[in-house]
Amino acid sequence: SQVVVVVVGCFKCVLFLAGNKANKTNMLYSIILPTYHEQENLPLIFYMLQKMFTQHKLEFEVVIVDDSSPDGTLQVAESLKKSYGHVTIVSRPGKLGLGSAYSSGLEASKGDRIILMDADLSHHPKFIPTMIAAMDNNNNGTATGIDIVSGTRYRSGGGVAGWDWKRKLTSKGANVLADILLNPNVSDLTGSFRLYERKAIDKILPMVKSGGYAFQMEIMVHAKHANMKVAEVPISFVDRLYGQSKLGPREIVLYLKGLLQLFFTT
Amino acid sequence: KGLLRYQVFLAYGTAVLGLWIALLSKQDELVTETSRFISPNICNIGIEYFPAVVIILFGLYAAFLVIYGVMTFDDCKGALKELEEHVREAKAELKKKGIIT
Repeated sequence: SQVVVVVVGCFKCVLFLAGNKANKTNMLYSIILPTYHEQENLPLIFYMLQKMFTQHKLEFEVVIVDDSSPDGTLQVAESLKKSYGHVTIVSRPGKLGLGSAYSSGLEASKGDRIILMDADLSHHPKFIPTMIAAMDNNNNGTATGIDIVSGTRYRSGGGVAGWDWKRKLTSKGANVLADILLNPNVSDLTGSFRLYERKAIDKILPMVKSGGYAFQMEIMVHAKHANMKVAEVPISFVDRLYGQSKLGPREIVLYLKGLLQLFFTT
Repeated sequence: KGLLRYQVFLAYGTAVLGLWIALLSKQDELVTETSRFISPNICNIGIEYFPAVVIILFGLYAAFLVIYGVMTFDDCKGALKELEEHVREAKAELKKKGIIT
């Protein structure tokens, strides 16, 4: 049994070294994009992503999870794959919800690090290198141990383009309320632009039961309970749809429901 | 593994109630000893309605956070223009590859 211990020790040591080497050159980034009716935006966000990752010499794959879009989203995804590669397509039989879209995407992903973001151009890929740097860099060269980097609109340097004061009031009010009730360790609890270590998201995604805004909140609450280390990067969110959008009483009620659920169960 | 959030609130609420009872029991003493800088009327009201005072002060603080947050909310001027520029570039390249028309 002593020999076994030594062999296991060496094996673990080799894995550790191999893992660290992979950090620098072979790290694969998976960007999971749930799509519904994104025929116009999908090629644009893909182009911007591939341009950024190529410029930074990073390995990447874009995992498109399409919930049977009634437009040409799937076809566009196929032609992107043919032209550029770096695409994995998960086609689902119907609108099955954001949480399960992320789960399906995660299952199909091969990445060591996972990026979740909006596919409608409200999130700009230019923030991804900053997020990666936050995950990688410590001043003294040691590993940061950061599991999640969360893009925030509410810290200095972050914000939203395209909101009037009423929308800002709603957003900030919701944010302060969530802060008070849940005391999370992030400033932007409903933000959906985040970079995850693979093992981090593998662990917490199955724990999340809700959808919509509540989904993003629940993820961070579970991360906090799992004692995960979270860093924040200010980002700008560009809302081109404000006015035609989708923040009615129904969304507010759903948000409050999700908030209260987390208040009483976590 | 720790208190649930609502339990934390219940704990704080209990502490406030406990403090209230303590204040009430020492009400006359407190009123006379602070009469030099707090008017006895105000002091009496503050003690008798202590939990309400706590809630109101807390509410004012939260309201301040919201209003201050809205006033300092960054509009990211330039982000939209930059995005539109990048979208133009993307469309041009994608048209070349025949992915969009």
